[in-house]
Amino acid sequence: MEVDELTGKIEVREYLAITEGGRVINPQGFEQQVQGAVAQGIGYALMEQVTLDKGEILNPNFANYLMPTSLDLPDIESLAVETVEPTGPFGMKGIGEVGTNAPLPAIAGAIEDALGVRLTQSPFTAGRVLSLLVPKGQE
Amino acid sequence: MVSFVLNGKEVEVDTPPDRRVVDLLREDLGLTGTKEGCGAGECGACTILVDGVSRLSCLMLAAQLEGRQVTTIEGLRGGREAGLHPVQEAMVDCGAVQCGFCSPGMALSAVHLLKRNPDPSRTEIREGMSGNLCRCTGYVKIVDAVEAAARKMRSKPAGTAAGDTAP
Repeated sequence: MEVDELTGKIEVREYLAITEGGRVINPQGFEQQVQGAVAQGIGYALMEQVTLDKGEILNPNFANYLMPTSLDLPDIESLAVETVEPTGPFGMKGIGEVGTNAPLPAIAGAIEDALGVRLTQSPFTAGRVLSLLVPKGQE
Repeated sequence: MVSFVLNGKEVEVDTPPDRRVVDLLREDLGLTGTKEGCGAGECGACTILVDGVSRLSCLMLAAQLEGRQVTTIEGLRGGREAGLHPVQEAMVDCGAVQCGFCSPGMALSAVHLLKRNPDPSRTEIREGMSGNLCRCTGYVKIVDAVEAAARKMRSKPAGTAAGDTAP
């Protein structure tokens, strides 16, 4: 991950997901789900925010609710830790949701690793990153 | 009346000139492969080819099609036995299709991209496809598919369907 210290913009350059989802029945399907979930997780971490005012959604469109485009995501590599879930059919567990869990904390940790400070509110917009880089009261 | 070439066949459609092309295609002509994801030109699901150039049909009016060569996803062919364009075949083989809603737009954007740049890098592919949103895949396998299709098309130029014409 890279942070532009002038603008506060974060770019995820590489992503490796190691996921334990029980037994892998369809390796391509497993990878599809993990990649899609990581993409959603990165969007959650970096850009997605529903803006509400008294219950009214102020950004009900793609122009103002930002989700990742092909330029916002890296090549996502996926590895499976194959266990056997004894209660699942053929040892399977399911892979549709779990992949979304990690990107937000992973990116928060990467920001801390890069900048020495931790952001505690997502999305990690450029403004929020800059607030960490620029001491309060300074332009 | 609007007259144009649609997927290789000349058509004449009796329509108000300000009918959105996405509605003309889906409602009046029954070609539902073209999708409406936003109606605001943001998502790319409505992508069609007009004179070989990728365009957003949700932002086009019927009158703009007059005299044009229009290709929808239904008209994309590779002259292969399977009846799929190399881009379509690559998308299937690479696992680039999950829910499939973005896929027609992705395929047509890819066709136009590869016409402009037959040997794109992965970055160039991402740039060329950046107008097509996908929520399911994270784009990785879509980029894989375009790369694979480009390789196949460079080595064995496939005849594209009537209707898929380059200006």
